[in-house]
Amino acid sequence: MVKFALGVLAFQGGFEKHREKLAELNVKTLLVKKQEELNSLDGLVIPGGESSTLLKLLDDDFRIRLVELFEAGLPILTTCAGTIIVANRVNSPVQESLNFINISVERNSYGRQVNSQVISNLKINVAGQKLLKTENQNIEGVFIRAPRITSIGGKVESLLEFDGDPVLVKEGNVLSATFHPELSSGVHPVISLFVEMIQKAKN
Amino acid sequence: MSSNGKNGSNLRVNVGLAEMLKGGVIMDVINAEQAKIAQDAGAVAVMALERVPADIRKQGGVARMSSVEVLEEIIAAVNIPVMAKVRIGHFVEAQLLQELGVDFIDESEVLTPADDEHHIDKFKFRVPFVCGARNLGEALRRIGEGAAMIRTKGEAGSGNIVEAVRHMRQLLGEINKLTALSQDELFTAAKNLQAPLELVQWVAREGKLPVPNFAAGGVATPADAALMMQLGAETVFVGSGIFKSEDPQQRAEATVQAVTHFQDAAKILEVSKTLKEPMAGIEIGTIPKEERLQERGW
Repeated sequence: MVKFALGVLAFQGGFEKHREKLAELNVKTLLVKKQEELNSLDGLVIPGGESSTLLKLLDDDFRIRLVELFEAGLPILTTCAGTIIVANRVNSPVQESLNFINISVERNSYGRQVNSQVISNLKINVAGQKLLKTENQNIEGVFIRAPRITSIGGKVESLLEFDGDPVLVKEGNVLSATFHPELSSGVHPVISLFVEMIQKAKN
Repeated sequence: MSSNGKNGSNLRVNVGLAEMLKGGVIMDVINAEQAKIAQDAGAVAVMALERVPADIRKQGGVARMSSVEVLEEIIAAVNIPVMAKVRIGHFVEAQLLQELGVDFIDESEVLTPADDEHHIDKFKFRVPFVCGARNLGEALRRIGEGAAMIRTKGEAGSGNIVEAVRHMRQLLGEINKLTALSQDELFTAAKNLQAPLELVQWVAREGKLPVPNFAAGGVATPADAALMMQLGAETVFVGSGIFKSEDPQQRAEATVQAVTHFQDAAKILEVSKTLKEPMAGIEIGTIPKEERLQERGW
């Protein structure tokens, strides 16, 4: 397997679970908290957590470097709150974001924790069939106080859907899920796709 | 989304929410105004209760779940998860909180126990629970009852970190010892810990608790919070420490930074520099044993 340096943003949230999942694929990860730790990465995961906390911890230097890396084509995987951070527009409440992917999201749109749930068979769109390795046709989604993607624009592809809404989208080097592939057992096809994106970017 | 379930997938999303709180600070609040300050400072969740532990300690009387009105105001005021405390064994208070849409319930020794023998059967609920523990046996008994998160008890409202340190070291030390035992020794270990055998076997194999392990009880400064993280806590609860200090907003922000950057002394120093007086602390030896909150529950 190609060796690469994968970072997981570790300000707060589900970084440990992402690290454990990637270790199952023999991918070593660096927990990133400082701006200089972003240098020489081949890919970055922005995990779930609380988006308002993550924004508070993202200082200007870190943000500027992150935008540079995004513009240079660094493969980025975001899950749940990570997707709120990178969306172009955020509602309920309106909050700032990084504009890495042309989607609108609504926070906590499916309800509170009692409404969190595991969906065992997400709908796989044509783009999803092309990109996700799905020998097993059922793809699981673990949704926890999840945001809803209310619209997609431009070149954004919707790979997976639940209840008529996109739940996995891709635009260029950014792959964004509203659920938690790192909380499913085994290696989730979303994580495999992200590793593939990194390998392609490196070649 | 549908609201059926009370099964394996339910526990997965509940432990999953606890995972998402890691590396954050959960702050005690008694009203919507404090909840907003906590959210703006970067808290990952707020914990609603009637009075903060320092006041419960001072004023005495029966401490109960927050009023429904205050809880509704707090839920309406913030977008981060809202946790709330119920009395040990008071499963009807828990039913009310679940009905209200609270995201996490703390079955807490800080409130006056409603049952001095039984904790709540937490598997009967869809909403997740966190419980306090002083040692591994206590932690595994709570997990055996369905808790999705464990925290140290510490000594709430004391402003003194010594008990939380003791409980965290005790818990992690006992986990380490278990990993060195052979299979046939685990039966006796389970007997001595007064904990379910399957959980004891799991911990011996994995070397950690099956649910996230947080710190609580006596955190007053950013350095206290970072101390608990360096000792192995995955998140920190701050009770009276924020809103009983002279500078709640700034102290809350500093504590958030200290927990994220817990291994970075320069950063903790920087955020601590301009802080005013923390809450007053109490020497544990001066609190009579029957008044120590940590003695509640078993």
